[in-house]
Amino acid sequence: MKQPFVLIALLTILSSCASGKHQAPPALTSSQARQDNAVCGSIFPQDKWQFVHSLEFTRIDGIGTTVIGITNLDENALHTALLTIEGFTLFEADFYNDERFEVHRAVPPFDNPNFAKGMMRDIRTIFRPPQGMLILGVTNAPDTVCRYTDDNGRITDVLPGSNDYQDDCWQIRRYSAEQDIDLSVIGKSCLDIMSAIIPEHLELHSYGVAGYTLKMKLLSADRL
Amino acid sequence: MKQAFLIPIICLLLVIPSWPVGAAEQQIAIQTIQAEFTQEKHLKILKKPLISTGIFVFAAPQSLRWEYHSPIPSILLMHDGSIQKYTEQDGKFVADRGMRLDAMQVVLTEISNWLDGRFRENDIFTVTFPDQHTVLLLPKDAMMANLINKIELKLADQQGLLDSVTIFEGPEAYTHMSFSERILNKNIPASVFNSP
Repeated sequence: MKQPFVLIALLTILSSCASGKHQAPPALTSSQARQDNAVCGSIFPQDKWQFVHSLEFTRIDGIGTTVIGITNLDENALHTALLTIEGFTLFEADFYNDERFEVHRAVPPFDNPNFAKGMMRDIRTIFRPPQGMLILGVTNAPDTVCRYTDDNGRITDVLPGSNDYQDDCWQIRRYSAEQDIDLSVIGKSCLDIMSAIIPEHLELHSYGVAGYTLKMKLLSADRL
Repeated sequence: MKQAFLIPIICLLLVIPSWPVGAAEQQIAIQTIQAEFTQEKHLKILKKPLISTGIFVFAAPQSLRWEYHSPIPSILLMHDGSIQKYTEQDGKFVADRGMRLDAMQVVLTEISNWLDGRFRENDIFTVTFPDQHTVLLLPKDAMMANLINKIELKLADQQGLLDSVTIFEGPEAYTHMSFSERILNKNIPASVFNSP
């Protein structure tokens, strides 16, 4: 009875040990596509939105739990909340574009600052265009790739896909400065909601020593 | 116990629908109760309340099925001293392996206390009756109060039943649950409580 046991799975996510094969970013050949980010940015919702998802956390050993996630997008910040299925608020915070964040409510173990930072990383990867220098290229697959490289040498590849609103409609892959994958996101079953491409399902994999999987199912999407 | 606030609250909701009017004075014999519920989560950042629906089934002394149909199908089962939570994944119910079941056993003790009419002895909440149809639960512990400001129970006209439960977490943050289609003392097979 030392901790709220319903939340243990999420805590253990932070301390789980997962190892994965080294995955370096693929080599790109020059693309004839326009060197702008219109196609690359198309997978990220514009303007103000509210998304409600079911979030299924799973550690590499299968331990996990399901909660409800609320994400509000606006120009300057991402506002988030995590709820139990029973409606109890576990975590509520604002994540600003300049890397600051403000936690309004955090039930233990969510009061660990590492949890907030990890959550900020995840939702920014899903909902915000990456920062850094952009080049477009094509892999051997061949997949069109929007490659963003930031000042620290970290690479984020956005694979916009065919945008035909079928499964696996886009992918995002993040690589560390050591050129090893640390995060991937697949958007599946994309819906056209008010002219925005919104995945009905998202699957996020976090690699490395704190690896986990997060499966998100869209419950509602509303423009604010 | 002080930090294990979540499940006591959940279980409080589970049990309260069987709690009689004038709880301390006139408990009626409820062997079983089942009902539908609608849960509205209000939160400042929510554009509209998050609505959940489901059913619960309770049989004295300690058997319970608390089932959400939407938006996320899940089932909490308590029977014969064991507790399990299931959440639907890929179309089938999967046991939630993230739960610490030993702690839930402790909560069951709380439930049995309430069912035995020892509601005022609760270690977690102070209980008052502001009027004939209202029961107010205020947390005794300051840390708990930071998480749950108060719980308000609205009693139905029919003795032994509850109209609604509202859990106040803070400014503009509360969960309101209302109950309907209640059925008392109907024979309920044990299988309802031990399999999803």
